[in-house]
Amino acid sequence: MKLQSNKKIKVLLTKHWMEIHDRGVKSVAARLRDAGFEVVYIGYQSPEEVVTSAIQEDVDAVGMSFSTGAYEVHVPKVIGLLKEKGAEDVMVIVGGLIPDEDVDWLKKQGVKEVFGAGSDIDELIKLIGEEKK
Amino acid sequence: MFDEKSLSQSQKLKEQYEGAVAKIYEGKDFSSTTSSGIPIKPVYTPLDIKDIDFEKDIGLPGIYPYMRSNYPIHYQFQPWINQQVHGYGLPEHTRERMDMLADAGMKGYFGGRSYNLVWDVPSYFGVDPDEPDAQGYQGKDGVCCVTDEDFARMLHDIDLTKTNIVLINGDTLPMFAHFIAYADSQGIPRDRLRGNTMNWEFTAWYSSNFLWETEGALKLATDLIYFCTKEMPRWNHTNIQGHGISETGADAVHQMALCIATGMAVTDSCVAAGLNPDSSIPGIGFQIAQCNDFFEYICMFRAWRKLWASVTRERYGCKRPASMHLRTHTHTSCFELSKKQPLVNLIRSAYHALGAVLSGTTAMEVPGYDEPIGIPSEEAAILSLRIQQVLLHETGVTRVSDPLAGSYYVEWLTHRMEEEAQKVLKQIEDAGGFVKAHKSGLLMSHLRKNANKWRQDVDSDKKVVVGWNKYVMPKEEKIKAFRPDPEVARVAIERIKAYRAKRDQARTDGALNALVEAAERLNKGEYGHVMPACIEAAKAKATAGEISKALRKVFKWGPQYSVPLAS
Repeated sequence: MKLQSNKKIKVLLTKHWMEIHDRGVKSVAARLRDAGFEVVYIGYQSPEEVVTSAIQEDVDAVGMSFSTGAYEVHVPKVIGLLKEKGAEDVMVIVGGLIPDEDVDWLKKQGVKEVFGAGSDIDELIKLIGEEKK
Repeated sequence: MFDEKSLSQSQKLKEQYEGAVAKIYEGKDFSSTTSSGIPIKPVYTPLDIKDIDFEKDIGLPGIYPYMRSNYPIHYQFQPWINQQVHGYGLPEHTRERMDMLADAGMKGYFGGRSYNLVWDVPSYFGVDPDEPDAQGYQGKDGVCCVTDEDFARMLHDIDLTKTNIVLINGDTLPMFAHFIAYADSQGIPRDRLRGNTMNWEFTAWYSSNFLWETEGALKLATDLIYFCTKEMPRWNHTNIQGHGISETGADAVHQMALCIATGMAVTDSCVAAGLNPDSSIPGIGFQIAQCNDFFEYICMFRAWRKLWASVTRERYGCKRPASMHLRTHTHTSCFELSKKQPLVNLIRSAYHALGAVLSGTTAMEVPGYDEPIGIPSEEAAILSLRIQQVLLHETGVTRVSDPLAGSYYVEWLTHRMEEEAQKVLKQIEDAGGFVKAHKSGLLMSHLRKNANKWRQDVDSDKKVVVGWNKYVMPKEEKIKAFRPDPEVARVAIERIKAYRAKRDQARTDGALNALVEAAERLNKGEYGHVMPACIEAAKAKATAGEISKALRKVFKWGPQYSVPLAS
């Protein structure tokens, strides 16, 4: 699937430096690039770094990937900081191993959508492409 | 292997067969490839293996090159051991799961106990639970165990001279130091301890760019091996992470070749440290991924045994069979498990486990069916064990060693896998050896490319995953994720603060300073000082994280290479 847009949509994908398995997020990065997005990937140490990079890189969306339940702590921090710094228009997506019963909670925190293991990457491309064109 | 008469009979029948195929199927081509891309035909005959030498290339179990088994008699005498990984929350929580699995029949060698314990993400990386980096991660996917007191909470009343203890983390030395400090405090002679450490100081295979920088990492890993050869000769000190390599993206050929190349890099480092390969190699084990392509992974396993035996004997001059044996722990495939219709993962894992048993593995763990959702629930953990128990007790496949030997297809494919692995090993040698090939990104770029291709093939429906892109159900049964106790972080932080508060700080500081000095000596090539200094620091109540940071004053820690995302 390719984007129908002239503007280059920029996405920051990220995992904490201690997150071991990144096969999934790296495959998503490859698919997003093939679809015409500009993709920046960082490994972060503190949630603050995610926000700093997102603003510096002037991204349209941030995708955070988790293999463990650290999202309970990190995601609200990132969303809170984005708001604080006037970047609340940056879309936040979460992926990785996210139990279904946590999806509603994440959305309540301000996550746009959860694209965990086994998700349809075309749907992700469509979502970001339509929201950020 | 076949006389002229058999070969000419085969040729005649083959021509008859090909004629029938062309006529009945109207010229359609039924050739395909294995998952690593080796072209295969719909049927094999004696002609395909006529050049294979029975004595040199196949042989019998327990005879060099051990392709058919390390041992003349294997499962008939001692089955593979159950090495189900477990670990979460506080040490006492993990102890509950240890006891539960043992009660469910998890068996070690000769019916004894075996525990395959995994550390949480912070402990994996030498990060203490009260550090900012640990926030959100304490005890979530492994046990939070960072002091000798934590080991006591987890292992109390367990006879460590009769129990196999596997310790899984990345930054091994600090954690191993606390384990030994605990054992010493219980009066157990070090050379009577039994089990495994991973020694994954340098293997940033599964993504993380953060662990020790490669050359320093090899020195640290070698110092651990050096220590073990002197004080714990029965200890399995090093695990080569084939499962991790496979999960990151390696196909069967690359899993085998990269692991053998890693084993050679470790051994080269040991030889340079003055160790006799016959004393260092027997402590090396391989963690092998068994994946979907049923026959390919069996043939990979057989070829791997043959290749490792020839490397240890020919390249390193080993004399002991223990050096030539491929010691294996099978971790059946995880990346091929699906979050959609997760109970179907039980079926997949059962086939993977069958493949591992037909391959002759010496130990096995099977992931929970809830692997794409979280760490195993009690029910999932028990079912993973039941998969192995049904194989052992009900199928009869353990009655005959290497039962697939002699199959024209299996012997042909085993030989081909060996050839393909040799090509990759040559590629690594031409790139200047494993360390250079690893650091250049050559190896990781193959893994990434292959992982991306796998995902492309699934997304384009070229590769079927039942329940994910075919036979999709409109309504999915919701499986709840297993969650450790939410109080873990608070308790772990309280405990470590209390641990530090009651220690003789001057003694701790002195021991950590001595450790830094030992590390500086190691950096100059002097082995035998760092591991003992780590143990002294553990006895002086330095936490695992503090020991790690002392080492970081000398050895670099951080991103080791940069590989483009989409190649």
